[in-house]
Amino acid sequence: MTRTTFLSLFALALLALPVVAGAAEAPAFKIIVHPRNPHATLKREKVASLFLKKSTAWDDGTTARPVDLGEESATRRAFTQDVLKKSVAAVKAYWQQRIFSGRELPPPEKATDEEVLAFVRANESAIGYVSAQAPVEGVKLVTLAE
Amino acid sequence: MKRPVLSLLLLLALPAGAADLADGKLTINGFGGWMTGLSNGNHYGYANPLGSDTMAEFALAVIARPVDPLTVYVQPYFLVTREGAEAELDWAYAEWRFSDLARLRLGKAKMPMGLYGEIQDVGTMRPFLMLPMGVYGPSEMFTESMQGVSLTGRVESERGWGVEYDAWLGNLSYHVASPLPGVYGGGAEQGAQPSQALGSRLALLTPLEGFRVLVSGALGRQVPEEDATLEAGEGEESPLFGFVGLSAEYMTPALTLRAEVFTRMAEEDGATQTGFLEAAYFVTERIQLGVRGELFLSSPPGIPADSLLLSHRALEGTVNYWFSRNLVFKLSYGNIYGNRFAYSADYVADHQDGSLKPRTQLVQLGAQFAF
Repeated sequence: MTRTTFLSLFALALLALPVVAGAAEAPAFKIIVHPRNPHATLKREKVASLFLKKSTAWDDGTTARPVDLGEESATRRAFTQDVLKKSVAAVKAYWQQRIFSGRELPPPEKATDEEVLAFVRANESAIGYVSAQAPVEGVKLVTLAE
Repeated sequence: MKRPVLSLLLLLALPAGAADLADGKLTINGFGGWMTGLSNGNHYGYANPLGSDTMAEFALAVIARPVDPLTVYVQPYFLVTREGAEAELDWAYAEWRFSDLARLRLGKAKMPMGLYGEIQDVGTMRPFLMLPMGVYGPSEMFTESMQGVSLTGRVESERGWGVEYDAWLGNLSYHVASPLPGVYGGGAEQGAQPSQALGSRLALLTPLEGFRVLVSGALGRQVPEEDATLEAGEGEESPLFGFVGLSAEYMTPALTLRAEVFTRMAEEDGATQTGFLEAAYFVTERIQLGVRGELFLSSPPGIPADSLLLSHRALEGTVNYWFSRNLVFKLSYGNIYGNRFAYSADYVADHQDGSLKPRTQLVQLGAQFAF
């Protein structure tokens, strides 16, 4: 192999890295809302504030109803790290403070993707997340924007 | 010894988390603990020279949301000490949420003051078994709850800056315990002091995760005892009091730093200054070390300014083992100078003959849990 060929291949490999890396970093969760929810895209900060109940309402004033998966769920770990920018343990500590000071209650926890999907289908103001492989009939997918 | 052992067994049998029913419309949480201690002569908290004082406590926080903007909070509390058992209602209030910025509370609610005002009994929310005595003890600075009306709200930007406020008006009942009346006369050594007050707390939230600064204050009057022998308006004194304080907190998963400074002025009791600084750090995943320094000084009229019954200086250390975020064992050592909160069982006689020990050393052991 000539030096030029090697350098060309090396450059091509460097250019391809973001694509490969991007594909490897596809989120391990999907954010879902009720089909009647008008949002197709939500900013990460907005989703985080709804799940930590720093904000409790949608733009139209209706009370948002976030729903979590159980704390042992890998999907929850991924969502908590990527969207809330915290560990699950840190979020639990945050909620302990909020609960015992009478400030707020955490979102309800569901054991499976199916239970989260059922909750979101049944509540127009709900927002939840499920694993990337979960079927999402009857709910609307939301794209996360930074 | 039987009660502490039973309490320990109860602690180990706890569920892992809260009970959440009907998609969050009913939530049940709880907390409790047990502690005892041994001192070198004076009584302080639940430490005494024989190691025979002990306490066990438990509370259940029940929160219901029958309709969307309405939340009802109820928290019964149970305490068992050497003197006996008692049950009381910590909370019983309803909240109507108009918006994130305005939530109206009516009933008996926790007192929103300082860092620990609303979580005084939740041992898993702090490094030490007991809260600092000067601010949260029987110093007529804080009380556990107030009965009345309050407004609270929060606004936070997407960048992380925000404000959380509380404003309240209601009846309070301060727990009073002081060695001063026994030695210098006047007033009761222990009891409840009813008061009426209005107060506020403002918390500044910052983009720095875990850091906040708070300002708290209140203005009120002590409610006099009703005396049927007095004519209306005769001899009914309602001494005014007020206090203000600054609090700061920085918390990461491993490190906790907290500091508070408060000043109280009262028409009959004079001035009081108190403050503390505490730090705790997880040296491993489960072992936490903590240290706290505290200062308290009061200057009521008619009491010699150099009396050790007016002052309290404490340096304490703790080693904690966290089985999980829900259960912790704590072992602490305290070195206290001054007799405002630490004094012997016969402190009046000991003070008169000069044998009241100014320095108290103690070891405390306990466990605290929450779910």
